[in-house]
Amino acid sequence: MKNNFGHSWRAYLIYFFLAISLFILVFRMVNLKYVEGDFLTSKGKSMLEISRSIPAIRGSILDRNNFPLAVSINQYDLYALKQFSEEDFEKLKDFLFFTKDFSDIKKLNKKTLIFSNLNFSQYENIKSLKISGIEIESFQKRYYPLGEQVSTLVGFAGKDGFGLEGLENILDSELSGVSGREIIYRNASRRPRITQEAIQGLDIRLTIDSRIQFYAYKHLLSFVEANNAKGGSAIVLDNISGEILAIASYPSYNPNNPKRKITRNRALVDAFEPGSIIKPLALAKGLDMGIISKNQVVDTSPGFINLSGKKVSDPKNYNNLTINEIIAKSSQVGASKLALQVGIDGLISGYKGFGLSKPPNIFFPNVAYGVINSRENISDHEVASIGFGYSMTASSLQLAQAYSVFANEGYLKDFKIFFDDVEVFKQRVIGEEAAADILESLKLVVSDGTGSLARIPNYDVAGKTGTSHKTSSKGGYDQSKYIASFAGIAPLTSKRLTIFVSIDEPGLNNYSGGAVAAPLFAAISKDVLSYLDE
Amino acid sequence: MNKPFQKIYFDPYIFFSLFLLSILGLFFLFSASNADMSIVFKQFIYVVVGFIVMILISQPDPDIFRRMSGLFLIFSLLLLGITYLFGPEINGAQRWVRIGPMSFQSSELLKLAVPIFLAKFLFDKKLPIQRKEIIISLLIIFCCFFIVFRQPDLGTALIIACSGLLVLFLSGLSWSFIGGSIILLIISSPFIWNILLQPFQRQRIATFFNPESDPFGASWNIIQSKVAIGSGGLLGKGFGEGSQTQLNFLPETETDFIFSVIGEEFGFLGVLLLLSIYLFLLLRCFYLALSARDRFCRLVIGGLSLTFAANLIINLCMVVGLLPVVGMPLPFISKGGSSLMSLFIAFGIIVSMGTHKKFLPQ
Repeated sequence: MKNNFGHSWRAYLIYFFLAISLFILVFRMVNLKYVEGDFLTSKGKSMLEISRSIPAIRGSILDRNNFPLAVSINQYDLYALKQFSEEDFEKLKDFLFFTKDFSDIKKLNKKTLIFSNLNFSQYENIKSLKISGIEIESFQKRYYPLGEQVSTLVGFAGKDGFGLEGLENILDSELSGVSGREIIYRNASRRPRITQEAIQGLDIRLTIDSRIQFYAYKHLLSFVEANNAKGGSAIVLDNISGEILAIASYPSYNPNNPKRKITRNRALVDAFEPGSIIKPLALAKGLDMGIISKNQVVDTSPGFINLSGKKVSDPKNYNNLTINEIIAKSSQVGASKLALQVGIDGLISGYKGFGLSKPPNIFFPNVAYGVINSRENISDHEVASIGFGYSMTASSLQLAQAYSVFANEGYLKDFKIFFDDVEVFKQRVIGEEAAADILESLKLVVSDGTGSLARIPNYDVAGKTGTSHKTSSKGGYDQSKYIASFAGIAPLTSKRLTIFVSIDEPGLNNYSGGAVAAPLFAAISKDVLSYLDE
Repeated sequence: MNKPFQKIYFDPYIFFSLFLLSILGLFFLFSASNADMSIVFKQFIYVVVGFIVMILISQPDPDIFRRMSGLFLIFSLLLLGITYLFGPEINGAQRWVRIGPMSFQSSELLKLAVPIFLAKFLFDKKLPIQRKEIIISLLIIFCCFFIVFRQPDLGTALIIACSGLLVLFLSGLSWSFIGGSIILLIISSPFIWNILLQPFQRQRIATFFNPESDPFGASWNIIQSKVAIGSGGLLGKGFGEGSQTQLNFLPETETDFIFSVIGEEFGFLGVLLLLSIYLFLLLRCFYLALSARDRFCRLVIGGLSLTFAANLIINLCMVVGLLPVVGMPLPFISKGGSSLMSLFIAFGIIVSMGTHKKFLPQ
C-alpha cells in the first residue's frame, strides 16, 4: 500500500507550512517589539489614560478677625448616565426630591443633570449608595458673605475660578494655588492615579474690619441716596497701626449675583480735584518751611483777588484772617495769598511729601496716582489754584493718608491692607509743631467753621471740608456739579482714626462738603468710635 | 515474545514536553489572573486529572479507537444535541453541557471524534480517494462544523473543519479537487460573509482589517494585545509586572489572550522558549507518525497533532493581530478544563498510536 503520510510530500508540505507560519509569527513579534513597539506603547497610553486636572481650592479672603469676605465652597451636581436604572432612581428618592419622573430622565438617553447644588451630606449619602448609573461632578462656588459692602474692594472670581475684579483679580496667583493632575485609566475600575498633588490657594487676611466696613458702607449708601448723588466713597484708617480698616465705595454690586454689573472702587481708582480739603496740606508745608508763621494775619478784603486776570473770591469779605481762620472758614482769597507765598515748588514738594501724585502703597488694579499740573512760567492764578485744590487730582485714599499725617505728628505711614505683624513704614513729612498747628485749625473747622455738622456727641473731632467743581465735558468747570468731601481725625484724645468721605454730585441744593460730607463723617465716626470703644 | 499487557505505553518526550507546558501554563495563569490562587488551583486539578487520563488513554490498543470511532462520533453529536436542547446560555452562546457537578464544552469531543472517524473511514481506501468518499467525508465535516458554528462558536467550528480537512488531505486528496474547492470558497465568500456569519463575528473581522476604527469597542482586545507584546521587549517586564495585564487593560488574559501576558512579562525570549517547546512537541508527533505501525495510526497522529498545531497557530496569529479574533485558547496554557481535557485525550491517543507496535509482522 502506498504510504500517504510519513515520508511523503504531503506531510512535508504541511510541515513546511507549519514552519512558515511559525517563522511569520516570530517575525511579527519582532516587528511588534522593535518596529512598532514605541508607537504602540504611546498609542496604548494615549487611549488608556485621561489626564485630568485636580482643581486647587481657591484661598479665602478674610477680614482682620478672620471673617470671610470671599470663600470657596465645593458644590456637587448629580448627573444620570445612560445606564441609569429605575432602581437607582428609587434609591436616590430617599435623599432627594426630584421634580422629574424617571421616564423623563430616561427618555433623553444621555448624561443628564438631575440635581444641582447637592449639599455635603446629600453628597456623602449618595456616594455611599455606590450607584453606577450616576456621576457626581464637583465644582467650586465662590461666596461673598458681605456682598455689596466690600465687593468694590474684594472684587470677584468667575465660575472658572479666575479672579476678574478687585483683589480677587490682582491676587489671583496667590489665591488660586496650583492645580494638580491625575491620570484616570479607562478600564473598568477607573482608579485615578495622582501624578501631581494640587497646591491649595493661600488665604489672604486683610486689615479690613468687616464691622467698620459695614458702618462705612451703610452710612455712605444712605447719604448718597438721601442727597440724590451719583456716588461716593468712605475710608477709615487706623493712624496708630497704619492699617486700612474700611474702604467703601458706592454704587456697589452684589458679587454673588451672576448678573452683577461691575462698578469701580471710587476710593482707589478715582482721582478728582479735591478743592479746599487740600488747603491744610499747603499751609502745613508753608508753616513747616517757615515761609508762613502760625500767628500771621492775612488780609482777605475786599473778599476777592485778581490773579493773572482771573478773579478768586470768597463767599463774603472776611477781612483779616489768621491761618486757623483761613482753614476754618475755607477762605479762597487767604489760601491763594498764602499759596503764592509758599510758591509752586514749595507746594509741589509739600504735596508729594504728603503722598500725592505718587503711587499709593496698595496692591489694587488701576489704582489712581493723581497728578499736579505744573509748568514753566506758571501764572499766579494757577499757583493759587493748586493751593486751593484745583489743577491737581488725588484719590480718596491719598487724601485720607495725607490727613493722617496731622494725627501722626508729622509722619506719613504707608497704610497697609494686608494683615501682618510688620510695622508699617513711616517717614516724616512735616515737623511735629506744624502738624499740631494744623490739627488745631482742623479742630476749629468743626467747632467754629464749615465743618460744624461733623461734630459728634462725647468725642472731639477735627477735620476739613472740601467742595470742588467737577470739570465739564465741554471744558472748564461745570458750575452745578460738585464733589463734596470731608477728611477728619477722631477722636482727638487718641487721634486713632482718619476718616475720609466724599460724595459725588450731590443733587440737592445743599452740595457743600460742610452740608453733605461732614454729617456722613459724623455718622461713620460715631458708630466706629463706639464699636472700637475709644 | 512481547507481552503487551505487561507493558506501560508511555512516550517520555511527549510526557516531558506536556509537563513543562503545564507547569509554565500554571505559572503564567497565576500572573494573568492577577494572582488569583483559586483559578490556578482549579487549573492544577485539571492538569493532574489530564495527565492521568492521558496515561490511561494511551494504554489500549489503537484498534479499539478504530472500532469505537463511529460510536464516539455519534456520542459526541448526541452530546451536542443535548447541549442545544438543554444547555444553559452563557454570553449568548450555548456551548456547555452539564453532567452532575461537571460541565464541559461538548464541541471539544467533536474535535477528536471527527479526525479519528475520518481516519478510520479513509485509511483503507484506494488511492487516490474516490469522489464518493470525498463527498461523504465533506458532508460529515460540514455537518459537524455547522452544528458547532450555530452555537455559535466559530473558533471551535473552524478547528473541527480544519481537523477533518487535514485528515482528508493527508489520506490522499487529489490536487484538482483541492484547487477546485479553493476557487469555490473564494466565489462563495460573500455568501458566507452575509448569511453565515453573525453580526459580532462580522464586526470582529472588519475590525481586524481596520483596528483603529473602533479602538474602545470591537478592536480593543487586539490593540491592547499588540501593545502588551510590543512593550515587552527582549526580556519582558518581569513576572507580574506587565502593566497592560495587571491593570486589566488586556481582556481575556486568562484564556485567549494569555500569550500577550507572556509576551509582555517575559519578553521575546520567554515567547521563543514557549514556541520551542511547542515545536519540539510537534516534531515528536511527526516522528511518531513516521514510525507508526499502520496507515490508520499515521492518519490519526497526523490529524490530531496538526489540529493541535492549527489551534496553536490560529491563537498566536490572533494575538499578534495577524488573524481576526476568534475564540481560540492557547493549548495547555489558557484557562479552561474542557479544552485542556480534550488536548490530554488527544495526546493520549497519539501516544497510544505511536507506541503500540504490531507484534505479528505483516
